[in-house]
Amino acid sequence: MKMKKLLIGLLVSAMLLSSAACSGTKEESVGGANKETRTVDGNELDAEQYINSYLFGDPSTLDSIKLSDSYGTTVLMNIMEPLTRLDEESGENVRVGAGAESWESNEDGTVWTFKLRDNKWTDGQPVTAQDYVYGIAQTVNPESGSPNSYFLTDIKNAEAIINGDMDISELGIRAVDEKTLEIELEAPASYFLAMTDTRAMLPVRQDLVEKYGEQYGAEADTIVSNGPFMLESWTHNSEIVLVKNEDYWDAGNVYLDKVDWKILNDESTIFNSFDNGSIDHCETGTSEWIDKFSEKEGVLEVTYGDPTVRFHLFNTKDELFQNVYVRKAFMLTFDREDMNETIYFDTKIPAYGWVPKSVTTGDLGEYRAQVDEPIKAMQDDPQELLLKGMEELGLGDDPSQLTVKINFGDTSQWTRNYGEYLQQRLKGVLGVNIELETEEWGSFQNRTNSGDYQIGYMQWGSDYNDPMAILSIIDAIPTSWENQEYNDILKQAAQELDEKARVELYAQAEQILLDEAAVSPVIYMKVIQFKYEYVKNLQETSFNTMGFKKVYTSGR
Amino acid sequence: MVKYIIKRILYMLVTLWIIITATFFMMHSIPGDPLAHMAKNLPEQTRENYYEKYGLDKSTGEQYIIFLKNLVTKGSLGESLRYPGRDVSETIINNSKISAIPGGLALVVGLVIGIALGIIAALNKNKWPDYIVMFIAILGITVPAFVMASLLQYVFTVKFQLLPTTGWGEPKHIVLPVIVLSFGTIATYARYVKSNILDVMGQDYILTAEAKGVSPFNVMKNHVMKNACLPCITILGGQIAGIFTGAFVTEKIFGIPGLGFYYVSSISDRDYTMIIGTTVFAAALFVFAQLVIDITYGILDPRVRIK
Repeated sequence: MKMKKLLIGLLVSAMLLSSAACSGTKEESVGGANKETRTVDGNELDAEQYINSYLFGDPSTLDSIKLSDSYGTTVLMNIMEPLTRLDEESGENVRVGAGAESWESNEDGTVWTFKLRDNKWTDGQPVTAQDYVYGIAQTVNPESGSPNSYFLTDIKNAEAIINGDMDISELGIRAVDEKTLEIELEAPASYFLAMTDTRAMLPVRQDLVEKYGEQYGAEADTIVSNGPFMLESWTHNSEIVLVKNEDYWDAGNVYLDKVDWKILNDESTIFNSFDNGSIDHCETGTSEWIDKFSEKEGVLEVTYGDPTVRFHLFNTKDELFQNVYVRKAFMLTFDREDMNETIYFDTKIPAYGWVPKSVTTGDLGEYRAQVDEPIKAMQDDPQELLLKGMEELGLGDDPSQLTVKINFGDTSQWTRNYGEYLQQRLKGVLGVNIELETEEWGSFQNRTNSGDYQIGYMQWGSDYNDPMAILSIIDAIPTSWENQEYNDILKQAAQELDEKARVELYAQAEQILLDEAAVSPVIYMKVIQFKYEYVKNLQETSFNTMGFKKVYTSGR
Repeated sequence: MVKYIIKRILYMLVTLWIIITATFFMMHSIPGDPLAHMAKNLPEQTRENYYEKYGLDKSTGEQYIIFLKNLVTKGSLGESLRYPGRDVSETIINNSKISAIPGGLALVVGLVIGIALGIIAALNKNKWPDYIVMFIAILGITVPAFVMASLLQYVFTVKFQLLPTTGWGEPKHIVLPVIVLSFGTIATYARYVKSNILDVMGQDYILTAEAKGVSPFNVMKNHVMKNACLPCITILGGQIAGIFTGAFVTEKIFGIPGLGFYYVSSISDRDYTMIIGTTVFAAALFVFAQLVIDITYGILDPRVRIK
């Protein structure tokens, strides 16, 4: 009897809580709070709410300090609560409060104050500002050896601490009180908010790290969560299962009771699994599968830009590629439309700029919609450019005397085909001889870092949603290209708080980069996702960091 | 006998030490590091801090001495570099146990069917049963596992949805992997047993047995089979050792969390501790299997004497 009363009491309070929490969405209940008749945005929710998804690899760890892959980030965005999250409304990204309910910066944008919400860890402890301080500071701390420390170099003294010149206690971050977090930056950084939902700024429980030591986050039972879901089990290299976290501050707006990720790293297995409904959605770039699934009944195709650019890099210390005309000649020889058609079967986007599609600048929306792609306006004849460069270098006027080597950090059949495609194109247009070399990434990285190459091939994704992410990594690309003006403009852009002026500066920097042709972008990546119609609210933009928080199924 | 075994174990230890040393220096000589899987050019200092944390900033010689010291004094193979917090020995033990289930079943199935087919083929030499068996055997040897696995997966999980596509933990999950894995074994034994039987049947002692009036069934059972199957122990030993090291392709396609994955991925990931761990494990299994085979031979075959 007593049990029953208690149960009713719990149900009533759960009802109250959920109706109080759902003020933001158009959720209505028909006939009381009966789960079976809940509707969201006019869709009737299925009685059983679960999603079957997949990860392409096993997360290296779920300790956000040591984590080095995107699989783990995907899981963490569902089980941890970042300060903010990036949501989407009709295809546009909107930053919303998550762990923080509000935030503000001082006038010049150097001090950010985050007011935290009342939220709980799954072991019942309250989430405090100190948890965020610990997670961020340990990522910077050189003793942790975190591969993510480079995300945080904008925080005051972070650079010096990473370099070992200053103690970790000097880091510009502090918990003002239990619920207030203050972060001081080295200089104004207009894009700073975009860092607050990366893995480098997640909260970490100091007491648990001290309890479990190196094992923290390596297994399901050595980590606790404070996000929409919690870990139920983690079978390495096989499956990760999450269940809804009932103590989550916004639990009333979380619909799924269960998230089941299978770890699948074989393409045909993934597609077979989607085909027979074992998983509810999948991504693909393979044209046969695209053809097949786009005709499949009950399946929707969703495509959106992936903020990743594939490019060729030139060694500007090389005796041939030290010349800007030579570099530009190669850059303009690539036929990006044809490449997209022939190599990618129209599944990607030809790239005429350095900043990929889908990167946005605050309220102004997509960067690429505001700034024209520089290479599109370059009408020079590649062969003339090459001859001009050869003349400057004193190499005569016969391109067929030149042999240029292209190096690849991947040995797959696709890469070889791509190499041969380039070989044909470059020989046909420029008349130069092309040699190809493929090797594993590790060896390739070593080679390019030591400057032992002429042309390389890489791809790079944006770590956060701002053109700065991709513009600033030029530093880390081993082209030996240095340009003071470029660096100055980026520095100025970082401190420019007016968005319009900032976009203008980014455009200038991008123009310089491509006028100098230190790198030659060729393709922007694109996500082609298939999902069954019953899956609702799945992300449709790349930077979305909501995870499965808003996802539900209707009509499964 | 005891003396022989002790001597062999000492040899085994020396062999293992040589393998460890060679692997250690070879793997450190390939360019790249355990952060290579990020496929990113991390800032130099980030990389240095990482190296320092995991002792990769020390010279290879120093790292080698530390590794050997931990191995000998603590029996520890260290912690994975690609998967921080996971103990290498534990990973190997847990995952090899998983690999051994489909691997072991497939070996039993393959052995039984393979030997049976071999006998059928030998007894019907140059007749249609022989041709069918040899056709199956050639298929089994030439069709790569990934083709077979993908085909079966498509037929049984997509076309006719009889079995789950991937997963681990229930008997239905290993049906297809066992079929794929046993196919090669069936082929190997069918051919091997057939040629051995034909070989033995041509021996003088078979003629003697037939001459003294032993029934054909008893000739087969007591004389032919015994001698024809004995050499199978040589292949069997290696195969039993092999089931623990897993099958990369089959496990990958059917999502079995076995050890095969770590053998292959640890190398491209430059997960040094895992490379050394899996290599030591495979080498130890192999030399141990050799020892057992030799001892078994000594017991079963009076022609082989162990001194």
